[in-house]
Amino acid sequence: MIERRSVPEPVLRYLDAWRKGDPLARAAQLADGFVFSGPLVRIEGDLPGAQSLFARESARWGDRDYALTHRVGSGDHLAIGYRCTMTGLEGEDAGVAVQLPVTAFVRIDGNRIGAWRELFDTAVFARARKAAAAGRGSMQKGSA
Amino acid sequence: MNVLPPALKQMIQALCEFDEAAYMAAFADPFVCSDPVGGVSSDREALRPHISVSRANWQSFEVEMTDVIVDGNFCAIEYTCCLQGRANGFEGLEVRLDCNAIVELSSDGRIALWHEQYDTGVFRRALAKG
Repeated sequence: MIERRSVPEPVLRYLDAWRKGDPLARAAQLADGFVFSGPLVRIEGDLPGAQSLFARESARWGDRDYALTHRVGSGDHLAIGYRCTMTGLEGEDAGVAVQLPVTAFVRIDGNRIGAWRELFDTAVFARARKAAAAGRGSMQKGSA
Repeated sequence: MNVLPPALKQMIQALCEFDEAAYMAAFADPFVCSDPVGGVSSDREALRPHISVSRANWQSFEVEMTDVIVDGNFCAIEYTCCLQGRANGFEGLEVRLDCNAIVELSSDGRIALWHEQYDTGVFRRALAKG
């Protein structure tokens, strides 16, 4: 595991805001002209767009936490690996527990995040849904 | 962007040339490899299918490097694999797979840890579209 003190403050503030499910605090860590990208999204400098995306995520996932697993680089240019845990709050994800390994390349601009390029496997969510459904199925059989 | 360490250069060149021997030689002994498809493995023989499966699926495999961070014996690389399909449903398909990897190099410069991340959904979506 990685010590928090070895990771730049803007990165910790961003991840802590994600953990709290606070989309405005999370978006507030992004610098002017920021780039945010992930497997299915890319936002450049559009703060309302980022706030909206983060708000949708916050509504969808609760009970969030993360653990830093890797850090390469320091100062204003680094890559971090972390493992997110969360539980679905709505729709087909309701009650589904997910453990998601993520890696992000980050550039710090001033005291905020100029670029956050993260990657993860979206299939993790489908597998978690399947596992939750199988668990519910076996509980129903066990109680019959 | 930092300069790519020799073992990573060798590994990526081997991937592009489907060169199994060079690919396997880039890894230290022991090593740990993790990726979304293979999970975590320290088995040297489990490396072999990385090339044979790739050769079966893709007629061309090119890598565009986006970022390299070197930090002592660790490095992080961000890259896009540009793939042209050969078989197994990928025939004629062009797939761009964004990847990144966190790597630890052993004292002899080979790969002791390969921790790779990418979205396997890219393949699913390419197959659905194709």
